[in-house]
Amino acid sequence: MTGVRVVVVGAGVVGLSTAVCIAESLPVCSVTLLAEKFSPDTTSDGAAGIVFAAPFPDIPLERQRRWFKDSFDHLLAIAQSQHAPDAGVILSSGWQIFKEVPATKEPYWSDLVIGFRAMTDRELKRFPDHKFGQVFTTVKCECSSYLPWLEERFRKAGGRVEQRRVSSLQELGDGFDLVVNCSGLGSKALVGDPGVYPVRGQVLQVEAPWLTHFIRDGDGKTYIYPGVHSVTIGGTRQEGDWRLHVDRGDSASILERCSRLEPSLKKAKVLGEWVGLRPSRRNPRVERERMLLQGRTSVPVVHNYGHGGWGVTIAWGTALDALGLVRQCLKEMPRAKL
Amino acid sequence: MRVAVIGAGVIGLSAAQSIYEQYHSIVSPLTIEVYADRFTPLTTSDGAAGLWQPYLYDKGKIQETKWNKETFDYLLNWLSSPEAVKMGIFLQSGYNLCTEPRPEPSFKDIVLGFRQLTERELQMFPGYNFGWFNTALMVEGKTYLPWLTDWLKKRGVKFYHKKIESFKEVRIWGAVDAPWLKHWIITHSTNGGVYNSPYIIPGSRLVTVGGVFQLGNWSEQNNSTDHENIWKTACRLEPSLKHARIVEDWAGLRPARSKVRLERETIQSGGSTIEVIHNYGHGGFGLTIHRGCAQETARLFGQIVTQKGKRPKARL
Repeated sequence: MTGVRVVVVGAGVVGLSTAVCIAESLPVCSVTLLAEKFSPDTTSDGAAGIVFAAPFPDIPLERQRRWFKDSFDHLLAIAQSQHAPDAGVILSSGWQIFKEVPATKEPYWSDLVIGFRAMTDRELKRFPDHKFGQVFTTVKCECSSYLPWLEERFRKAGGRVEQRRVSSLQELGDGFDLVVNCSGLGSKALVGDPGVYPVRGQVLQVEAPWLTHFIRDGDGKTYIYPGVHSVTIGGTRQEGDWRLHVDRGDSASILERCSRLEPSLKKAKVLGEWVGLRPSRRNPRVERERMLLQGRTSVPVVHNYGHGGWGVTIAWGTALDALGLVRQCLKEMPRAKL
Repeated sequence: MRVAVIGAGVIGLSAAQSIYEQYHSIVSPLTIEVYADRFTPLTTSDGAAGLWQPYLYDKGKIQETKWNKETFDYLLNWLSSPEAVKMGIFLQSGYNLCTEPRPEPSFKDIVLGFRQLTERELQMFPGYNFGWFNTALMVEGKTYLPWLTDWLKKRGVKFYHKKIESFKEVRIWGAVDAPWLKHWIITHSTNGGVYNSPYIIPGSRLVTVGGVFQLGNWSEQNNSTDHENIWKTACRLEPSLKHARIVEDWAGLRPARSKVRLERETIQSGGSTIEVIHNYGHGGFGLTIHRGCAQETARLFGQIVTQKGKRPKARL
């Protein structure tokens, strides 16, 4: 089999991770990455990129753990290597705190991160409004560095990159043998998936180099994530909200909530504000199907979208999963044609 | 009363602060003057990486452990105030690495969240098979000393330039630009000595990379072979340092002694007596122990105040 023409739609963290996995593992494929937006204009770019997850209701736990573990181990290896600064991947320790003791004290990923344990009373004293907390070391993956770094890997593996807005998967039937759909929120229109919806998130970048730990409220709405050059503070979780412009009220609320957790933030200079729409779905869709595309009888399509606010966290794991589905598609391809 | 504080490093300035805090409303007038040959940013304290961490074992010097704890708790308390940034204090977690199992250090109950390293963590540091993780405080001399100086000047303490001699030990380190590092890493070698094994301590601006400790070396000139070695071993610990830009290098002299000398002495000079409180010999843990020693200094000052009958008389 030679020259299977694969197209990956979407150049966010999921699209690029999937494209790299395919290009590096399947030399028989010639891979093209098609997207309207590239870093620094993707949803992934504004994400703080701290790796931890929330469970999806309908995906078997073992599969979720595999997604998480594969991603975490992959990023940890980068953080421990000389590539860390280029790739924007670092180790990050900190605290997740809860105003009320949560039902699950040990989430499914607690043994997959490093040094996970409950906070001591002394550590909790710094957060008088909170009754319980978890402390651990995880990784932070800054997409504004990571995506260009992945793109470089993709090109080195022979991948081709093209800037183009795809309005319908129909357009792709002509030039490609296999379509990989990583279009995130775009899948709503591209694939006609009514289950895809935005969850608006606003963040501020502040200058506070004295902050070395992340602090996250278990409700997911208030968080402080120190990064390489700035600290990302947030946030909001507005379901069904498509607004991409900055909301002054949200900024004020973020500063107020975060300063309550970390008073030194009052002295921090605000460097910028950003809004992203988390490409949400009840569960991520990582599966394959055959579609009737223009000019062809049917073309295999592998979907990898709907990661919501957990894109960075499970990008590599779902990319590997998608790679497995691509392999299955290749097995089913008639050899005579190629 | 007239008090002369010799030395404007963290020990001198904090001692002046404690004496002022506790006695300015009791002794009137209370004149405090600081004399030193070097002021911030040229003192030994300014060159310190600023990590609060005592030597692993106090070898029976429980008084020093008590002063260390006092200092930690004092600084931790300040953390919740927005003033913390101006003081140069913040929390940072990190790793203490050893090549073999060791008894727990004297500071295990003082720092936050002290625990042994997991297998996974040890795999991150080839060559080390035992160690601990904890959250500690950073006290950056370059910020803390100006803050203390400001605090003292606002309250009328005067500063004077004067030359002094003392016994020291050299250490060499470099500062690199590596803002992606958020944990300190300290390694401990078994063949004795402290801080002669590589360490990496991220600060608020730059990362200190160091690890040479030679007793009795008077030279402040940088030694290039020492530099090479520190760099090589540090890069093995943290491969990403390969890309870090070296910004400064520094050879500093730590004021070492077998133990801290914190006691009174009465000196006869001409026909008069001078009361002296010694507070020196803090080696590589001056920032770590400063507050506890400063408070003890103030307590000893209190004894002098009582002896000289300088306390205000009780109204009967």
